[in-house]
Amino acid sequence: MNCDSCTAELSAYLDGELNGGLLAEVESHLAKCTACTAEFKSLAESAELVESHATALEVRPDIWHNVHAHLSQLPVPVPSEGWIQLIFGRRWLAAAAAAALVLTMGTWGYYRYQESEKALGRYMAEYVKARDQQEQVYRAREGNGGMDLSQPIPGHPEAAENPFVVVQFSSDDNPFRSEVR
Amino acid sequence: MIRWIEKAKRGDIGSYQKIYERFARKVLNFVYRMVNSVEEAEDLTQEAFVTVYQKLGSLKDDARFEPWLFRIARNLVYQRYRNRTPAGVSVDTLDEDGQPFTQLADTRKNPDEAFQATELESVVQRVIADLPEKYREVFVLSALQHMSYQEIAEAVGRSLPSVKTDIHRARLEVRKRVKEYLKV
Repeated sequence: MNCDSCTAELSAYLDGELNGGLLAEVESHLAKCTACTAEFKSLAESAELVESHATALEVRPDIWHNVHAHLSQLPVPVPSEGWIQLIFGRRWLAAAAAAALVLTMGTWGYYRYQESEKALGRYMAEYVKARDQQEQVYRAREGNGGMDLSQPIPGHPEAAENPFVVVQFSSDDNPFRSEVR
Repeated sequence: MIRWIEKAKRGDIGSYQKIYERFARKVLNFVYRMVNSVEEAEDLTQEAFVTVYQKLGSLKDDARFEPWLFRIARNLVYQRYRNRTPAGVSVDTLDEDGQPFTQLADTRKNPDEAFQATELESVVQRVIADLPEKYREVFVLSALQHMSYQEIAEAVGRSLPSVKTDIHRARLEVRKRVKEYLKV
């Protein structure tokens, strides 16, 4: 490093802005160059003189009072963050959102459960009613000498399509019929 | 500090007051060096803190609050003085002896020292005021507000090398003006 490049870095050196290799070069140069060292001392002294004699103003309390008066009239600032950050960036809000979600899901689940229970009850009532009707029919037919399988079963219209039910029953189909009449 | 900023963003004026208390003096003195008028500096500082509160929601990185604050204050200064001549030492800031009205209490006992110190304060005031604006703003932020070069670059919206060069030139200019008071 020569004197020109060293003096160009002296303010940054004074302000503690140098690091790494450049800092080492400047310090190395200053250690062996009396002219640059004198330059640096002169800069440092002038900086100290300015800082110690620069009159600083004190803040009057009424400045804040005026600022506060302005702020009180303003609407609450809206953060520019997204709603996800808005919710999950705050612990209490995230907990409240989770609790609300659990409550909603729980209520919805309970409602669905109740509905399915009611539907099952209705279905079972209809089933029992149909079964009782069939049972009554069977008993009545047994009282009359047996089932008449040629007639569809009341309450079960689909019985006609049942392949295990012979709808049109004829005497020829009876395997127990007497061969000699 | 970050917590105060977060709360202030949500409208907590109490937290904003803490931020104000921390930075008001620095902003006031920076603005004062730029406009050389106590009254104007106070007015602009007040305006800066109202503006900063309003724009707080747009601050992305809370850790960069300080350069952002100074940038707003600086922009307000330039907005107000856009059509005016560069600031010199205003008459209304000086008393009959040419001293600023508002100054720190002088605790020095020796009358000669006190006289010289008062003279130096006046000299320093004028030296800083006479710097070109471009040099003055970076010099004040560096030498008086002790901000890092990176923060200064963000505050004035210029590159780091440019800031570094101008601070050095400003220091050389200041030294030339106060040379007769130096011992070296």
